[in-house]
Amino acid sequence: MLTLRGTALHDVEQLRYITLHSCGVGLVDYFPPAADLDGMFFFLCLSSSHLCLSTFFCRACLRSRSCSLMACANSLTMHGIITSTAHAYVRPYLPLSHFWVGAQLYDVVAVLTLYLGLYLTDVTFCREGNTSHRTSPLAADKKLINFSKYHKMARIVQGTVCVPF
Amino acid sequence: MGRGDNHDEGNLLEEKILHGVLPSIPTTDVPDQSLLDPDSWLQSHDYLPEDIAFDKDGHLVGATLQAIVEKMTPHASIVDSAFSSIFFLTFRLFSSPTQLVQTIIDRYNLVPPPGLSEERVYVWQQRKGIPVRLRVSNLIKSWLELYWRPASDNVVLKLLLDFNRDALAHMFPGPSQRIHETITTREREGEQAIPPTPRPDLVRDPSMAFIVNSPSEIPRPIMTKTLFSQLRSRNFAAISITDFDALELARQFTIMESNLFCAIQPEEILESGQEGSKPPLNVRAVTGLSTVITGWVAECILNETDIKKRTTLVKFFIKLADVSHSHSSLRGKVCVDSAWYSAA
Repeated sequence: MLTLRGTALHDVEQLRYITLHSCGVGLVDYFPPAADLDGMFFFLCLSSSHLCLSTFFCRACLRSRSCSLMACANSLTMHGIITSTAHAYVRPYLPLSHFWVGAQLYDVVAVLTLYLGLYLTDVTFCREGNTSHRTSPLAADKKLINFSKYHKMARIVQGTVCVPF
Repeated sequence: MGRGDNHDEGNLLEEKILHGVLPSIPTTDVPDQSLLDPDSWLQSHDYLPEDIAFDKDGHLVGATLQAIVEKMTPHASIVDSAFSSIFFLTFRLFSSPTQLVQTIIDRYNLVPPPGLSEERVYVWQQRKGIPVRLRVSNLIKSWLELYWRPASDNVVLKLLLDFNRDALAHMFPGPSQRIHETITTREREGEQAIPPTPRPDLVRDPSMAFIVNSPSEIPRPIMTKTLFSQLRSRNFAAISITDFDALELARQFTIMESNLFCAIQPEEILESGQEGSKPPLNVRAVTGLSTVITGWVAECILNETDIKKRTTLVKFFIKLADVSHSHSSLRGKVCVDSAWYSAA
């Protein structure tokens, strides 16, 4: 995929070789770093030119660099761009993407402007995915407050202020 | 030693008990063995074993409200500050202020185990009764001064006032006076009072990594004189977005969002989506700004019909996203990235 970066935009014939299959492998393997303006510009122009199916994939992959590959895959599926073959290449990255962004947020050196949406998602998942009560290990008929759920939620909220403006 | 020897010794002891001289009763009191080691019965918890659950690392994962309140008012150790902040941040999600006050009062009215001697009751009072009541007093004081949320907590002010007057005032007159003044202040302020700041419930867990690289000095704005004069004269029609420095624009976006972000209350995040919760106005304000920026970026690009100028605009916004990312303004970057996506 790196060889694509040197490709002129008008070289449509060369771009025609980019099948969805090969593009799926290449772009997912090579996330262009944000600082790589040439790479980003290439991909953006590629997408806005609407040259081939890979345009949507380019845009979605660029977005996934900062958002979530899950959203990317969903979007591709919605647009009918992604196929089961390409999805097979994307799938291994799906569970990693959210953790990757989360790790970036938690490990980044302050001062940081947060992407609040991730925290709201985390809180929602934590609240909806955990029961409010749990059975006592010593008495099956006794319900205890699931304090670990609230502990996790509190830590997420505390995380939003760990990197103040 | 054979069996015959044992038999002889047994007879000898029996003979001694029946006909021998018994030793005199000691004149001094024999010390109660349990009083010599009071910890053995003082360290026990007041909750039942089935009222609490820990994970394999020893962290509390489940408990009754009574057990949690006991954790907040231990008699033999200091209160864990991290646990305390988590409790105050979340207790309204699994309980209510009224329930909490009632549980606190029950904890305060802790009585010694039945059947204790007078000495043991005294030791119990000194080593458990008084420390627990002192921590109950501290718990109420912290709640009122640091973690109070007027909208939901003001309903228990009357209860706390009565409890303070009837119980705490006799035991701890000094702290009780301060609690009384705080309750009076809270009553006077009503529900519109602003929650206390800084918010200690948002104090970070020490285990979370946190490195701050504060700038040595506030950066000066990057702006040409022409642009500055046009902004001062509000001549916006003459200004192109590419006249701005990308770094300066990223800074301005960050400043715009800063005030909105800092206004977010923790309960807005914790309780968002829950039934009966208040609408998260400050969260909506932040997300609204992002939507506006995203729409603005997309509109700027799509409104430009000239292909060269559009290319320049795209380059500018790519640079803006890059600068935002390199300055850890992830939200700014997401806004611009979302514009690419929405413009597809």
